[in-house]
Amino acid sequence: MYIALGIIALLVIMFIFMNNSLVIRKNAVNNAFSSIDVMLQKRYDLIPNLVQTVKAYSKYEQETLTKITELRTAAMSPSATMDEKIKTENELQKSMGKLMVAVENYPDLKANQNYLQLQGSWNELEEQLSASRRAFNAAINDYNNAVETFPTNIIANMKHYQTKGFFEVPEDKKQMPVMNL
Amino acid sequence: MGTYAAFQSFYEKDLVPDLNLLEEERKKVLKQLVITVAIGLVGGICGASIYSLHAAAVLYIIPAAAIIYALICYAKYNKLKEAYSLNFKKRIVQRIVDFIQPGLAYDCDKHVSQELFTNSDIFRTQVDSYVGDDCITGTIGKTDFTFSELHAQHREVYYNNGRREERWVNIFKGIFFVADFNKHFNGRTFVLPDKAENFLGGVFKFVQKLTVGRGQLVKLENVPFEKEFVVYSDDQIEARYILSPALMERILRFKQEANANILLSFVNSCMYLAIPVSMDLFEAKIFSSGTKLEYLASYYRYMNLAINIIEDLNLNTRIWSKQ
Repeated sequence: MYIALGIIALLVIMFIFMNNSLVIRKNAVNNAFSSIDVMLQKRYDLIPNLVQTVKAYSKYEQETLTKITELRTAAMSPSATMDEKIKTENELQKSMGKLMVAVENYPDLKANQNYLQLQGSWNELEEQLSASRRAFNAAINDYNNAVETFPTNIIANMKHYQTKGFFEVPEDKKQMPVMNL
Repeated sequence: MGTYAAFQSFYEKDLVPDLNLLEEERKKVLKQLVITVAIGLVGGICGASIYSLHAAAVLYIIPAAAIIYALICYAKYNKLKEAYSLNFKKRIVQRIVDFIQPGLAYDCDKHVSQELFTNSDIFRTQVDSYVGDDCITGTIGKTDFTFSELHAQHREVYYNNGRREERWVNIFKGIFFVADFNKHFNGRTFVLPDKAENFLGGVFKFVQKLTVGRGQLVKLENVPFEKEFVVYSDDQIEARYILSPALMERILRFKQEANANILLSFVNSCMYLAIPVSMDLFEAKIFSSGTKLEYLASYYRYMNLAINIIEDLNLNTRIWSKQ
């Protein structure tokens, strides 16, 4: 009788521990994802300043600047799903890369203190975004391991937890020249 | 910054004449030591003979005089040794520093302050003895840095059969390096030698002490880096912001080059790096010739290693908001 009770108590404790560990990992994923969102938001806040500064110096990059502004508005739309956000984000990334290359043709702009500061902030946000992405992927890895391995996979199945995909860097971004940081 | 081949030629052309002069000084120091020991021995033997032969007490004047003279000789030896050591540092070590990177300030008596050592938070054992020398301070590119040789110890009290005894335990001995990091950060991140690797080395307890209360374990995606190091931080994202994939590679390469269990911390936008070295660095030799290239090569290697940290870890890249 006592042995049976002991086994049940042990199973209940195990269940609680495993359930909690799954919930903690799931929350860690959500938390890491929200930090990516925070970084993206910071970057969106920086775009108008950057656009204004570039506009003042170059008259030939209007098309790119307009596209960037449009993409920013789309990415910030509250109705955008995460997939849409990521897609817009990748587009935005591409246009920003184009703009940064185009700026090379404007020595006055390159020497402008305000622009240099904005560029520094931009690079920093890029680095922080990359760090958030890596933290998110590490959290996903932890979570997926728990969802797929025994015995936590039993509870994961019961709660309909499914593995989540990693935050992949778009192929064209991977091919962009890597700065030696 | 010169290569080892350039250092060899620098040694032959510039250092050898001074080393030959210093060699004369070294011989004088050694001679003085031999005289001191010889007189001390004569005094001791005389004293022992007089005592064993039960000779007249007045004869004790001879060993007493010998020992007093030996003490005078010893004082002279110490003075000569200090002068020789200082000359070595000024004529040789200073010039090696200038050869590697001109414009750096070298002070043979100073060391990295205990405040910086404590701020690093790498070593958490209470420091009871803190000594060091050969401090180098300067700026390379946009990065301010300082490093020196340090020896921090802890006095451990233990009881042996009820008797209170003390022993000195090493906390850190080697080169301690502090530099302004190229990115802003607020939290604390520690990069320490991996526990598992050290488990068999018998310093498991020490490493455990190092890791308690350092925040969350940060699992990084670089497998060779994870094999060598364990990373703790109070912010998962900030740890990755600091430890970019490129910096992890550079730290790994640096560890291989240093061939030591290096420890790093990132606190208050500064980087602290401890390179354990068991030998005494940048000191003049007394008992063997100091003119050989091999003898200076190890000093050059460590000096070069420390000064090149800025370049090796790319701390001069200031493309972020911190300039």
